[in-house]
Amino acid sequence: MMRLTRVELRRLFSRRLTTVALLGALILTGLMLFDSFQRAKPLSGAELASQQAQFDQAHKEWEANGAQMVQDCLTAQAEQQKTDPKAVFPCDQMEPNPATWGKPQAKFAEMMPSTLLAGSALLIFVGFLVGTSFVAAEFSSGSMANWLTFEPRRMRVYASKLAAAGLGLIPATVALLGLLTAGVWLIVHHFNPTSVTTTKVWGDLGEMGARTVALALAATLAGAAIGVLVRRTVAVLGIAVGYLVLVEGVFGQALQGARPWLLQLNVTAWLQHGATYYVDSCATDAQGHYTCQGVEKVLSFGHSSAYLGLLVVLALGLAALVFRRRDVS
Amino acid sequence: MIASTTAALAISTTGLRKTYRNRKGRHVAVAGLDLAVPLGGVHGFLGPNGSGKTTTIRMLLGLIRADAGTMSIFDHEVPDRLPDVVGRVGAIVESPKFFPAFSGRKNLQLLAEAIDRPRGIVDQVLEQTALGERGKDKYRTYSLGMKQRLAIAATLLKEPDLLIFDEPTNGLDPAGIREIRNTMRSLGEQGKTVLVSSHILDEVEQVADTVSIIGHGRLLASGRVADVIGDQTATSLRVGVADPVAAHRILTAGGLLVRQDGALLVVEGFSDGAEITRRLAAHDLFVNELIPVRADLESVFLELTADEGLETVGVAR
Ligand SMILES: Nc1ncnc2c1ncn2[C@@H]1O[C@H](COP(=O)(O)OP(=O)(O)O)[C@@H](O)[C@H]1O
Ligand SMILES: [Mg+2]
Repeated sequence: MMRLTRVELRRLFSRRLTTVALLGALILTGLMLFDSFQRAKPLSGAELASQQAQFDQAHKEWEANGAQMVQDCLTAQAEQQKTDPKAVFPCDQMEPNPATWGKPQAKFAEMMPSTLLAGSALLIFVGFLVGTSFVAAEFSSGSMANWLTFEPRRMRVYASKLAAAGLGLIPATVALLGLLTAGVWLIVHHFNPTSVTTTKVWGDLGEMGARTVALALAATLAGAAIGVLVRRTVAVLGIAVGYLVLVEGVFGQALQGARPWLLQLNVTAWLQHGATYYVDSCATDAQGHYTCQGVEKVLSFGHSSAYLGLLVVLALGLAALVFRRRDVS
Repeated sequence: MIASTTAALAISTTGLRKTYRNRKGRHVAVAGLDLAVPLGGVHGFLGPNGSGKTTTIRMLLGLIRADAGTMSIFDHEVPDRLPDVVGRVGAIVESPKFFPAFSGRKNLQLLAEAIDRPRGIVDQVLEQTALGERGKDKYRTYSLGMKQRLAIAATLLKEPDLLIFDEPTNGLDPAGIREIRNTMRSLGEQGKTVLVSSHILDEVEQVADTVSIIGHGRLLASGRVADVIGDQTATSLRVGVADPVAAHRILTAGGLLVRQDGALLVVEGFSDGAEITRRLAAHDLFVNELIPVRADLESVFLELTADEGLETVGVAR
């Protein structure tokens, strides 16, 4: 079993798709860092000057017409309140304020979570792709039959493939997450040396990183299991895209009650330790108007852990059953 | 039939059955096959296309499940105890299958590592199969002959006692065919057991010591090649003679089945050339050409199935 896993690991990293996928992930990580760099970068002298000019312009406008602008705003608000009594327009915040005008200074605690979420999505996809193709290629090339004439104990073969895919991707996932985090931290501190990151923020980020690694591992294993079931990488990807578009997109929009069972929402809830989503709540009010309102709902971390865990266990178990009995030719 | 003393058998099956089920319905591929392959030497597994040879081999190797029957390799029940014997069995099922994007050497290295063979063995078997130089090239660039040689190299990684080759000469050029046949013969002479499936009678006759003939998933005949193919085969003779009309009359009068084929006569079901020459010479007709015609698989089949009282077996070549 150890030996088989070692061989499978060697095969995993001899595959071009593995190299290409990891390189691609590295490049995308670089792009994310570049994006962070752009967002963190303070304005240049020329930009500052043009910003100041814009502010002066806005301020002059305010001096001249401010009273009228507030008046118009209040009128519009009153108009709106006839149909929607709760409507509030920001009429008291219309004066240009030099403190909020222009680009705020970069803060690690503000930039990192969203960057990490994007990075996680990437790593989960890479894990799934590498896992699925690692197994499916063996079926579609026919070399699985040959392999089984060297090691006929199917459960060992199955377990060694899963183990290799998982073990191979964990270090890569950790390394890329580390790179992303270190990169953003360095960028922020380069432009804003006074930015402080509390231990609480670091703790949260650490937990989110750990959850990303766990989910990327689960995606790799599930990908490998689906590879066993479907046996063709292209078919798996087709099914995955079709599922995301049709079920998660179209069906998920139409059938709001199904949202807690959508993969994307559960993945977000798992990564962010809970997620919110909106469903329309429609009713006829006292005046006989039929109105709909977005109601915020929470998908709990516990729900997503149980649901995603169940899905992965189901995929692994089903693939094991099928692989154990299937005719391989 | 070979005596069924299991002790001296490399492979034996009894009542082996496999039915494929798919959208088009059920198809009985192997229908109660009793196979006995003796230890040592080359055993031909002869049958027309679709007779169930590959299916049988896959069941022996645990790749597909039998519906009924028992199988054993070197007295180990398979598939249950296959892990105990698989290290002694090298097999190529249908066409060779390796990772196309890996080199031949890389493919072999992975296999060798999986069964814990020393590193040097890969170069050794590449050398043995004359692939040495091309070992570093990607498998997908190999010619069919080279793929077949790589597959043989892979079986040799195990230093097997039993080799199973499924129609190994299919699609090869004459040089490749000769090479593979020589390899099989030499393995048989080294005392290993070689099971080679084929739909070509000549091939089995050339390389095999013993043979099992199957049709429609059932055993039709088995034993030493000379006995099974030699005896049960109705050969014929093609005879060239200056006056074919007179010769036709004389031979027919002698009770032989003769038909004219162009300028030659064909004497069906008769292989004694000396007798033909003698009879014609007695009438001053001299044979200028005498070609024994080997029965092909079809006629062997017709005869075997007639003997067994089975319905005629369709033969595709
Ligand atoms: N996977 C399969 N599904 C359905 N039928 C099959 C399958 N494989 C083989 N068969 C059928 O089973 C019969 C025996 O096939 P096979 O064992 O490949 O014969 P052979 O190797 O002697 O040519 C054939 O009629 C073939 O069409
Ligand atoms: Mg076949």
